[in-house]
Amino acid sequence: MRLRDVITCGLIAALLGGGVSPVSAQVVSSMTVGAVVGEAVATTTLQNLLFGRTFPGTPRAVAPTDNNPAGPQAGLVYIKGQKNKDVLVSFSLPPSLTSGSNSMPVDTWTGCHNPTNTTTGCTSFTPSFSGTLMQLIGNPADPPPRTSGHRYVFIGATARPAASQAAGTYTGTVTVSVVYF
Amino acid sequence: MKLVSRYTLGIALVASTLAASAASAQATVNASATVASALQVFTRDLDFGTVFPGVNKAVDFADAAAGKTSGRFNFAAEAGSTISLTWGAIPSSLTGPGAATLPFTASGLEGCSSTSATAVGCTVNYTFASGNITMPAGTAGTQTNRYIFVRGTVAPSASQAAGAYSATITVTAAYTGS
Repeated sequence: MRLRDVITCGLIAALLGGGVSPVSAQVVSSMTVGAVVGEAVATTTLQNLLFGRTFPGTPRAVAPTDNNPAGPQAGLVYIKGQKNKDVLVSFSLPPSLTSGSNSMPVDTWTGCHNPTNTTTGCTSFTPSFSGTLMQLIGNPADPPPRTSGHRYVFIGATARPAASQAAGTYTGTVTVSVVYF
Repeated sequence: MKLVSRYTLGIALVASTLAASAASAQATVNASATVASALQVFTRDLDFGTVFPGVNKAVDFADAAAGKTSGRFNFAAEAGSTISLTWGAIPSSLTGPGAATLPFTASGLEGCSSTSATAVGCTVNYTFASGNITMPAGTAGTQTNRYIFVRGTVAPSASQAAGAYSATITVTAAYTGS
């Protein structure tokens, strides 16, 4: 055996020797799987939309800023959920109000939303079925742990009684759907 | 919005129609309006009946007999509402055959606004100036009535041409919205 062959055999033996070393003790590893369930989103109707007394042939508009308990008064929905989360607020809007078999068109829906229960400085938007994104904002006045966010949504519209509109009380329902975005 | 978000949104909206969930919520706002009673105007013509040349003839507010009847506008509208009245030109004479005119006396036509249909006790208190009037109070959704009576005195001349004479008083009434 030549010297080069001796060295080669030695290397092979060394490699084989390393592969048969004893298996080490069992290694235990762990990881933490966590989740934090945020605050559920909830809605509360604070005010209904009141047109009040309307007159045949004269459109009656309610602005989001109107707040007369006898009418005109804007509709108002309060949304509460996880602070700083976005929500998509969508609307199902009636095309008319009804009184028995009579109906009266209602259109030109308008809205304004604000983190606090005031229309001062509120953000205007147009209520729609496709929805509007709004952010739930915390209020420093909230009690600890201050994880909640708030949004107040004011809704207005215009009722259009015909000149021959039958007298009576006309009603309809606006459905407001809120989902975390 | 990313595609993934669209799917998420779609699922959430469907869920909201099935049951309340932590990720969505729904509220309803009732919308209501009370439509007032229709506005109506009924008239009774001012009728001097037969007059004779050179003899004045007066019709007072409370006159309601055939041949001597005061004019009366009867406004029927929502209780407590306000309506606007816009008057056309108030005639100072009647027009008859061949464009002949039959004048009123200097006091012209006079008005009395009243809630009484009979004008008993009515005095001159209305000038036919355009403006608003308030309907008497009453049950919401019902009509109340206000009346404006018209009186005057015609002064046919001694040579007044015989024939029928007439003029028109026009008023436009509308709800003001309050």
